[in-house]
Amino acid sequence: MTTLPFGNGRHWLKPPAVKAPSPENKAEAVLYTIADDYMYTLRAVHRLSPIFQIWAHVVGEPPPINNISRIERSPVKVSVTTLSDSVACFRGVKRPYTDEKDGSSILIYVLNPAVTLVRDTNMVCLAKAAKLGNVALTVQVRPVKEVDLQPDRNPLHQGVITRLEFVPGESTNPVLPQRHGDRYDTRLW
Amino acid sequence: MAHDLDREPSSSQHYVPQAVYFTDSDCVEYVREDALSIYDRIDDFLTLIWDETHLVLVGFKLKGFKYVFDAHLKPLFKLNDEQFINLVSAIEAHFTAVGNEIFARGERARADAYKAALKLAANENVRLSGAMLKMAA
Repeated sequence: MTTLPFGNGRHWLKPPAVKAPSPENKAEAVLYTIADDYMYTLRAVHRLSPIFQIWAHVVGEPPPINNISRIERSPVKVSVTTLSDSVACFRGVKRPYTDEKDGSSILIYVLNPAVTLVRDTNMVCLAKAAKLGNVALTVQVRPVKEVDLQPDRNPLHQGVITRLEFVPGESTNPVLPQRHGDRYDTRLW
Repeated sequence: MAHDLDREPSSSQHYVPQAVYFTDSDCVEYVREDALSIYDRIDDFLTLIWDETHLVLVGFKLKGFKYVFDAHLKPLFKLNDEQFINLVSAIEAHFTAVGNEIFARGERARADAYKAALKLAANENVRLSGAMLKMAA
């Protein structure tokens, strides 16, 4: 069996920063990092599915784990996407979010993968493909505040991806989160 | 973070359901299984988590947890020698605050969602450990 070398140059819990369309102007690119807190908290309890999904749908690569090539040869093809494939972007989650009373600055990118990755109990490869029904994938981004910016930062670095969630879908092509008009403040594009 | 966590995942490391606190998104989450999860927002505090069929409740997420902990749960935490907080208490504390509004508006589905989360938390004795809470505090 041919396998990718473990890590394939990547650390499975430290995905690279990812490019995304700017919330203000879809034609411009910004850069987001992925929260260590999210990846390591999941890892600490051995919950792997969301980690695999970050790789497949946000980074745009299969997770760098042993024998992942088994998935690539599977007849059911995982939807490998990046935030550039987002079908919508919203701002404001209408709930307390760390130091924000109403989470009004939080960004939500919406993706429409058809097949995702979840944990498998198989000993060869811990990931398997799973078909999705009428759901949308939401990716939450906490914008970096001016006060947090390091002088030597990449000027494109605009925020931190804090989590992803599959949510019930509404409408088709594109599938948007159910009741998105109520749950978010503003649709940006 | 400990170096052990950096090791590649292994099939011998099974997911054991437990509540976790995510600092960067300020929420506590409990899911029964490591599988496809569908998050169904109920209100600004509670999200129910369903399995892929959307028929079986497998968990819940409590949002804005830092405020609820500071406002309602610190005394309980001290009573437990700062070892854990039972999430039934967290859900009850918030429901006490919003219950009148829910019943006044006749929001039966919302009330049922709280009942479902409470039942799951009670049946599975869902607790957030002190180590996790120190991150929230």
